[in-house]
Amino acid sequence: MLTLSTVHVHCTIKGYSTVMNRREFIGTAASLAAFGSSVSLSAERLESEKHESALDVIFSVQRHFFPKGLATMPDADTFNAARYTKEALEHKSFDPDIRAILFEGAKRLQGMAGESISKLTYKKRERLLRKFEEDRFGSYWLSQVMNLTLEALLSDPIYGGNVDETGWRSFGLKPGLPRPKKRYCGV
Amino acid sequence: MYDVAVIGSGAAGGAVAYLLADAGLKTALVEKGPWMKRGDFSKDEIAYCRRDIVTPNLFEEYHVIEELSEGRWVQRPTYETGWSFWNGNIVGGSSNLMSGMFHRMHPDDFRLLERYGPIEGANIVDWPISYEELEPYYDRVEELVGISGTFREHPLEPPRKRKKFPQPATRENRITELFDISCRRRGLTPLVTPRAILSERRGGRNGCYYSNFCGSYGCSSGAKGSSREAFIEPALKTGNLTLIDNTFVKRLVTSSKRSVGYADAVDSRSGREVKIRAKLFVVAAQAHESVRLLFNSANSHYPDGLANSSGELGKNLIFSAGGWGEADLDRKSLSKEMFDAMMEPGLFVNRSILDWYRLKEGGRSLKGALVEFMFGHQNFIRRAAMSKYSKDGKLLWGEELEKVLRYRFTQSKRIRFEVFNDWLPTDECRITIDPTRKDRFGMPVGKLRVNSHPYDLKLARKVAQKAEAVLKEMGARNIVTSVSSTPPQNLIAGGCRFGDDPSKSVLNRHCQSHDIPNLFVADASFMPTGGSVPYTWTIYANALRVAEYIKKEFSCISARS
Ligand SMILES: Cc1cc2nc3c(=O)[nH]c(=O)nc-3n(C[C@H](O)[C@H](O)[C@H](O)COP(=O)(O)OP(=O)(O)OC[C@H]3O[C@@H](n4cnc5c(N)ncnc54)[C@H](O)[C@@H]3O)c2cc1C
Ligand code: SF4
Repeated sequence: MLTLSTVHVHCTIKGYSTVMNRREFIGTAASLAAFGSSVSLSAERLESEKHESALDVIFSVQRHFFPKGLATMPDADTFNAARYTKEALEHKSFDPDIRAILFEGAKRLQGMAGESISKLTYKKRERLLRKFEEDRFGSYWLSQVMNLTLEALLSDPIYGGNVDETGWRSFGLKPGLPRPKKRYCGV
Repeated sequence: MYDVAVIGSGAAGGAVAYLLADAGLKTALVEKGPWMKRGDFSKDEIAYCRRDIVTPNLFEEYHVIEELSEGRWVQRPTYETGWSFWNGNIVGGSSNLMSGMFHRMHPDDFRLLERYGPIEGANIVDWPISYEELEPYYDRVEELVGISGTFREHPLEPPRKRKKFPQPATRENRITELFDISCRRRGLTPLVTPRAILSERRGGRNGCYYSNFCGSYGCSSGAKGSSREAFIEPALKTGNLTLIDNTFVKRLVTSSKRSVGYADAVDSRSGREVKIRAKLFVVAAQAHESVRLLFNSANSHYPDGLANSSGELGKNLIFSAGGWGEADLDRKSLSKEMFDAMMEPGLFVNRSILDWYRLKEGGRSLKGALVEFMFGHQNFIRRAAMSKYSKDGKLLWGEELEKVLRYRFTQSKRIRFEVFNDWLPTDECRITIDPTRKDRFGMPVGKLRVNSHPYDLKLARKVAQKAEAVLKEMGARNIVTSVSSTPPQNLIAGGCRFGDDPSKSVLNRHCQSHDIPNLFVADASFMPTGGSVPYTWTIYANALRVAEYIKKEFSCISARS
């Protein structure tokens, strides 16, 4: 591919450019600042209670996206989506605005559910997520959680996901060589 | 004091530094990013394609992009959108990450106005030099960079001194057989795209090992003809080149009205201020950043920016683009044998169509486009992320997602075309700086107003339809095409037009400032029009031409300044 054009960054989500969305969400979500929009979150802060419960919501959604018992794809626990996600969010290269949106969305989704998302039946959780998707913010949030989960599934295992290359193996994918020796080129 | 300081070590900077160091001039090559060597690269999608690792963090260094939205200009800093206009900020610049599909401009492209006439609203001017003047340098690039290819006669192929390329073409996926037959059925001539990729070992560089992940990644074999491999490494061997990495040039400081005395720079890791003194300066920071540097170098002699007595600095920003299309080739479209062969990872498509470079409309000749064909990018995460929606826009997960990903990864390959037509220069596409927004070095950031001429979109649509017909002929399914005024951020030119009239151009025909004789700009910003091809072969060739002039005139220029 020569031109790093529309598909690369202007990826259209349900007819809206992501470019529009992010700005809009940052502007409207009053509580985003509390989650560290545009500032670096340290690993330590991710341990705090507020983030832990948000992370739990995200992990539950990832388990719903990649449930047990699929024909070829591993489930979220098998490829360790949770570890990947937590460590990716802690790294300074992760976009702080998207991180803030992820935490804010988790809070909103939890509020909508009223009880622990992981304890809902599959059917109820499915209904909840589809309802959340009807809202533009909800739809954007779900797409960001999915992006992270796909990263966990298909990135080099050096990042903590794709355990034993289960993600690659499930689709017969051959990684490019050489493989990375350090995360983020050692940065 | 150096003889020459070159700012920016990408395609243009590396080529200039090579020729000058080789000629015995003490040359400094100043690069804001780190020096990553061949052994440092890997095919790590997270680092190279999903995070800002080989480019600056957007919250620390960014651009402001102005786009027309519902009839209103809307400004957005790129840290808010993630739409980065950094393309590779390491030694060798974005050339490390390019795909290396190389094309010469056509002789018509140097005479667009004369050949095709004016277009209302477009600031078209002819180049002050001709194709014939640049041809020897295109030829030299072939040799120095090691361009691989197979020459096929074509009436619109730019004239070449030598028919044979220095290296045989890189290996091709068998899908090219189907592509060639499909083109011929439609009366088209498929051409083998020349690549800045070694197919065979040469000197210290190995041939391509078909890693399957070329564009957006650094090359671990040395096959890719990046500025680092082709020019900087050999230049270092001369003993005349000092590579100053991790050093950001903030501004150029003049010692008199007619001379730049030093570059004011900062060590990008420690924050230590550095002054780089030289007799002559060559700016090659990629078009938009070169313009920004000149604006940020304004002083009492030049309150509107260096080299800007014409007021033309930053104007007529252009891009190399038009549109693109993608489709699926799968078991339904192909025989079993062809499908299995196509699914082999690594080998290239390497095909382009020049037949539409000139078009006819109502008996009139129109300037057309080049179309490049390739497989869609093989990145796993990206391919999965692009497949995550159903046709009605619902996010897929669980079994439904699994089904789609299985199709994407095991049952099909995306075939892609990219249309390159002229991005006509207009008043509404330009670079300035935003004095209210500063980067981590305290310097005003570049502001890019981006828009295209309606004519470009019309033409791109016309050509994209023709390219779509080729995909259909191949049996490809699920064709999607996009033509829009959203520019690709990696193929960028203009902003420092060259020309013979100092009141209408920033640089003279040697890419030397009309105002300051010891100041040159060597990247694609000199281009008044961009042709209908990607730029990098032309950037390399012109940089060698500029360096050749500096080499010849160095004593004279440095004595005067
Ligand atoms: C993924 C990708 C694929 C591509 N594929 C193709 C292709 O197939 N064909 C093609 O023709 N082209 C392709 N290109 C485009 C090609 O890489 C560029 O056209 C070319 O590298 C531009 O050369 P340049 O010298 O102007 O800028 P660059 O190569 O980007 O170099 C500019 C350098 O200057 C440095 N710099 C900037 N500001 C400063 C400063 N103030 N102080 C110090 N240093 C500074 C930057 O860090 C950078 O290293 C591709 C690019 C990318 C990213
Ligand atoms: S080995 Fe070949 S395909 Fe891989 S990056 Fe180098 S030039 Fe590109």
